[in-house]
Amino acid sequence: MKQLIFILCGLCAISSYAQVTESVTASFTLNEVAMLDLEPSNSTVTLNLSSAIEAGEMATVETTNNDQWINFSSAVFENTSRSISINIDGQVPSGINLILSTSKYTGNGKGALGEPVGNGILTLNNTLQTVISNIRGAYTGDGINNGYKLTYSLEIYDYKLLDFNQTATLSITLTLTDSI
Amino acid sequence: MKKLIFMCFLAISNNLFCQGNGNGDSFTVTVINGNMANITIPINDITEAGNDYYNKDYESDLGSQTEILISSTFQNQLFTVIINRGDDDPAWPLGFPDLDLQMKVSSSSSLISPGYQPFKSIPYNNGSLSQFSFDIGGNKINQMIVDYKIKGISVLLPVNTYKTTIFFTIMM
Repeated sequence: MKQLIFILCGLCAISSYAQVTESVTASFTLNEVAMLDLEPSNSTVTLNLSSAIEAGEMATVETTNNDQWINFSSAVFENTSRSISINIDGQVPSGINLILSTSKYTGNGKGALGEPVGNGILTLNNTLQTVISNIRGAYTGDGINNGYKLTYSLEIYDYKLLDFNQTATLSITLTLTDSI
Repeated sequence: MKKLIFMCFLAISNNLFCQGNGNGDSFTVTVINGNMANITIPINDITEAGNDYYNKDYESDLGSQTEILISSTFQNQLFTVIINRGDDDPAWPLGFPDLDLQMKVSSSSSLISPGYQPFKSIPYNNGSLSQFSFDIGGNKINQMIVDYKIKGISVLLPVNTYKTTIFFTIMM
């Protein structure tokens, strides 16, 4: 009899611990982000060739505000990357090249910020050329001294083609695109 | 002695029908899943190129809450709610220590104790969040509202829909 009572009490104790377990799925969605900006914004770069002062000297390049900074924010799918490309709209005066020099990254940003292509120096023309590649999830920081510094300069490649009365206004376009 | 045995049988028969599986009348739990999947982090929260998200924390809105209803015929029965997180979801991003899923529990019922909870972290590795205990009166439906918060959102996280499973265990 005592054993029976013991078993019954045990069953009471077990059955008192009834429980129900339910589950829900919690989730959140992150979208792609692709934002590009130049700092200082809408600034104009002016490059001039000045004639030589002394006979036999070469012409010199005068520059004003020839630095700009690329800022970007980028969020991408796993195992994908982006690049920044550049091209110019307009014709560079004959005898000279427009050169772009891209610095290494500096600033307060974070993430997979990519790197300049090659040695970071490009001769700009009307075709699209990659400036920075391998950008993934990253942000450069905002404003000057954040991101990649772009420095424009002129290079004389043929003196006999130079025409000092020639002036050209060029539009430069930078594009942040998904890498294929 | 016979009376004692009879009482024990009564106690067992009562308790066996309080499993809350939908068939018993005494203890029923209904979970209404808030669709947290609809929480899409707004990219316009990035004010300018070069910045990360301005807000790092996003809370579920009213439509994204989980509502738990406990219906019981027991008088002053103590229920314990244990909340855990499943660790079997491969989609959760690893390697981002700032990313943190949190939740808080509140109720319109005055019976809930300790009532409003501040947001608490739900560790990824199946860690127990907390135990919320409260008394429930007979023949009442008691409501428990769960709100979620995601902390540490960043563009550094790969684009995706991240999911995790939250388990609610209601015990008596």
